[in-house]
Amino acid sequence: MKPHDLSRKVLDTIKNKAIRPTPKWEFMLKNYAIWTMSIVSLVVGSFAFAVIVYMITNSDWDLYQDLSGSLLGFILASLPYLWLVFLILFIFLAHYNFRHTKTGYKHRFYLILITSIIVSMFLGIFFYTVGLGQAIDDVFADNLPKYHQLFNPRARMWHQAERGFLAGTIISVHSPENFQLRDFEGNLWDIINLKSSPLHEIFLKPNTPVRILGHKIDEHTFEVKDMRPWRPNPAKMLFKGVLPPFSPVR
Amino acid sequence: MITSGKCHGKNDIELVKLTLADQDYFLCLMTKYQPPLLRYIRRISGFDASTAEDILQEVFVKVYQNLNDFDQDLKFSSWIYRITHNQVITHYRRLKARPQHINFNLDDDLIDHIASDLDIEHQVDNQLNQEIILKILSQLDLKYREVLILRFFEDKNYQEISDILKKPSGTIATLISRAKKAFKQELEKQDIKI
Repeated sequence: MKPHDLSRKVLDTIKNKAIRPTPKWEFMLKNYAIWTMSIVSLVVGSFAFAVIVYMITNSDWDLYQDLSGSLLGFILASLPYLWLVFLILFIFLAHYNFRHTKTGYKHRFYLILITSIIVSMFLGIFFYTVGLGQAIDDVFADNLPKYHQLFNPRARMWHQAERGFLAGTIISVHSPENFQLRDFEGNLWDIINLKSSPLHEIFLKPNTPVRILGHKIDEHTFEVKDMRPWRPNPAKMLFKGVLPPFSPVR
Repeated sequence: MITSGKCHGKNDIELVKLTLADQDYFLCLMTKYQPPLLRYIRRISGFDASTAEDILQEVFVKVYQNLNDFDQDLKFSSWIYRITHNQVITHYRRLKARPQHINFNLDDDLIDHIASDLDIEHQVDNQLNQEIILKILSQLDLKYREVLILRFFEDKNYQEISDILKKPSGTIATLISRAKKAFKQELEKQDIKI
């Protein structure tokens, strides 16, 4: 076919089928959508990073030997693996979307990946410092059944009543010396707090999550040696400098 | 209908703008790019002339439909080569086949150019050299063949190849270097001198 014949044939097809160029706004919309998805993925990844930082900084480092036996064991047990998976997933999503922007192909794979990781970390630390790490953790814990078991390794560590570690939410307070608690697995406990102090009374209220050091008396009874609020804030603000860390069990 | 005189002296960007206002101007762009794109399709795919023309018709329709997406930071030629490249790949996928035989002609200058760039000592018999180059090229992976064809046959620079294949320039440099190496290794493996 001669050059002009093929070109004319295409032009005739365009005219006969009334083909029109796709409007510019459609391409712009698509491009903005890809950029938005890229940024949203990066921000969601940063939220995950904020929760990870929150969980790591609020691990019970003062009790690492009692909870896990060794520092390495404690670190491995404390890492919030599912949040790490989320972080990696959203960093890759951000990377994937950025690669599909108009100019994304111009940049090297690893450069985009490293930039995504660095941006997620910086944003994540910022979100953590403004309290978003804890806020997200709290919202998930309050609304997602089994959240503690699946997402929060700290909750698993505090589910060792035989070894003297128990955590859960206060259900009802009969007196400062006796209250009921539901652990994160859903079991009900009768708590005896003979070493009650006025400080305990500040957070000894229904619906408050707490962590308790003590010993198991029977299947449903636990005696308190010492206890602290589960969440550092607002407790951290209230008790900063007032409540000392837990004394080691041993 | 637009006559060739109306196309004369206008660059690609002007022709794109004119086409968006009057579709007859698209003929200018098609007439200009038909010969190089047909050659390019046949070079990377090895498809026969009729199949290559069918693909090119699809390419031109796509180009027309996507004219508003043309980014003027790119050269129009890079953009149209990109669409052509993608269409060839789509065609492969449709056929679930890979290119086997490449049919195109290499002139003497091109053989000199390839031999010199690949740092290959070459003999005088360019007819024989042509057959060898074609044979080796057809045996290379598509990712190597397409960069060699764009670099040496289509005479595109690294930036243009990067824009056509949508890969970073650094990756293109690496691919070309590896493609040259693969080409030379294939020559040595077959104990061929060109």
